[in-house]
Amino acid sequence: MAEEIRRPGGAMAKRPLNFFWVVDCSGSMIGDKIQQVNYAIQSTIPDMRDAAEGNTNAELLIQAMKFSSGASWITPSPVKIEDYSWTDLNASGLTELGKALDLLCAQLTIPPMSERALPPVIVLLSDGEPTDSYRPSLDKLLSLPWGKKAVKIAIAIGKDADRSVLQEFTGNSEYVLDANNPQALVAMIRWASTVASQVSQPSSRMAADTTDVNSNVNNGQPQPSVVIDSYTLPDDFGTDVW
Amino acid sequence: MPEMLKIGARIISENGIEYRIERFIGSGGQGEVYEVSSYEGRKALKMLNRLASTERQKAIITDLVLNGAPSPNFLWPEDTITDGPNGSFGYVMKLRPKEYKGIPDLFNQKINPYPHTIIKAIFNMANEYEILHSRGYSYKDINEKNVFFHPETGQVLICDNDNVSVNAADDSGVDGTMRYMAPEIVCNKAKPSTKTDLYSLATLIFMMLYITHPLEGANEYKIHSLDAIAQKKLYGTHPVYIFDPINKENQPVPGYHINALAYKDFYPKFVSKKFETAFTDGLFHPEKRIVEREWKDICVRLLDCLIVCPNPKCGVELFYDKDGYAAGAATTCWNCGYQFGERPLLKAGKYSVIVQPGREIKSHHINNDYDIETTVGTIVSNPKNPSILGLRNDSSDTWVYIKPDGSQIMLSPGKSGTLAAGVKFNCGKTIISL
Repeated sequence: MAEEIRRPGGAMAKRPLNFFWVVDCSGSMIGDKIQQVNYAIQSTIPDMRDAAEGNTNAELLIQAMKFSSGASWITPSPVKIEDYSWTDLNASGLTELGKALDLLCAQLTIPPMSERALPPVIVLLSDGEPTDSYRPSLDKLLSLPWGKKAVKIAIAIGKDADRSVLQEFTGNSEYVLDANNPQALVAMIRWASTVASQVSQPSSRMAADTTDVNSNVNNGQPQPSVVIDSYTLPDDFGTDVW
Repeated sequence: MPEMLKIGARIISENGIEYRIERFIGSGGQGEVYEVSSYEGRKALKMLNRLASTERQKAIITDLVLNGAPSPNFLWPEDTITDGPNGSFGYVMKLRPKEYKGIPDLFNQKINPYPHTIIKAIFNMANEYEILHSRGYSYKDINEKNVFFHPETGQVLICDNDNVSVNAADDSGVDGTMRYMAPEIVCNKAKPSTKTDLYSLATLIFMMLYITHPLEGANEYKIHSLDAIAQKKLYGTHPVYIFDPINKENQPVPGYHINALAYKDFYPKFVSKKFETAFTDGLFHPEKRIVEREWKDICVRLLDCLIVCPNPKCGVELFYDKDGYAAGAATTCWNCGYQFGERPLLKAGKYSVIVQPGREIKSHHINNDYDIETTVGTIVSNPKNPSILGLRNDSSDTWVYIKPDGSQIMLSPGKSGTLAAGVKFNCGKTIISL
């Protein structure tokens, strides 16, 4: 800081929070579907940046990956949200989810992952069935400490998406979000982008309220009813805190 | 992106005022905030979404409007909108002026205030919460996001008052904010109250002074994944103060908890003693938590012993801790390493003010009224001999200057009396002495 020194120390220490967009770019995504994804993700970035600015707990790092016939990082190393911009994707080829999970595994190993962090967030967008044998890769991902701890969200695009595979990935059916139309897709991607701040940032915890919570429509916009909040967890930590 | 109201739309409030929606300010979990205008000028309108528009939330806000703000420094609900789109509910409050900055800006070094400004902001913040609590209310969610302060004057504004309700009334929809919630709330053993507010306030004050969290030491370092389970342990079931004098398991880790160690010895001992109480006994015994008046006293004492480093090449602010050192020990500047010996102190009641030209005596020093803005005296150099210092009477009352031999001279407003060993100033309620 070029500013005059007035106080000891520096800025408050933050833990890294790795956020991954993993996008199915197989042939079935061709046309408006992939363009909707491009637009929806791009439009969330300013909001993510704003949320990160006031965050005193996390340094938000973004990485994006595409998979079709094979998988590759669009952002090979984590980029701070302040410096991040979305690169438009095109669709063609197969749905090799296993390849994508292999790449994720490599990234979620320590290193390159930091030893101390906030739980990573992985958002997987897919519209179809995997064409490769993804299961060994998924098992490996779920056996990695950071893979286990990651908050895994899946957005099922269209009616053909294989929800059961996505549920295997998220480990929880609530974390599989249905996007059956462009409006829902934008809403789900927008919501998924806020998970980073839900995981990291102190935000007011609402007391349990039994009135009016079963609504999932807000101003006509579909909203996921999922709350990423596990404060009502058992007191017995066992080996979960590591 | 505004979703609830359209820019340019008009909306009529319960008080019958027509507001025009001017600008979208932001959105959060509970709803959206807009800038609105009416014949009364510009205001802020918070629209709660359907989930947050519960009957009890509406009742709380309607009560707050009826009862009025505890002080002008609360951005308090003034008027309500009861027929928003899709059954939403909203309330109108004052707009926060742009000069006021959030505490996250302090933590993230977006602003660079002097220590004395931060201390004034803490004093003012404690004062506002004291006013709120003395009215029988509790805030229920004190955290870094609901206090704003002016980075030059330390003036504060208290925002997000929509959870405020009568203490002990279990009617608020909020439990608090992790890192600021009292351990008994984190463990689901209690609901927010004045007592838990005091815990959150102590945490916020600590964080503003040390730019780190009072419970984040070695125990935090040992946690790889700081998830909800880990947080519950760190802040709820197994909280340990990083500077606990007895239980040393959670001390700051060198090279990792950099701010904790940078600030550890920055403040005088009376500050660290107060935090010891707040975060040892105060963790588990709500009745032992520090009340606002004690924090205000701490702030007054901090300002009294704040000194500008005498090294002309340095000039940072530091604290002269007369009780913290062995007799004759030097004070060392944290920035340049400059050392200086004992400094004379003016005694005013229970306070000791460091003698330095330009130093001001505040109303509080002589009237015990917690007014730290009104200046009643200033330490000045004698114009004929700048090495001689005096105390000028800046109050509107006449003081009595008492020399060591007992002789008395009337000191009318604007007049100064030389500061020398044994002199006293009778200011009415208080005698100031060197």
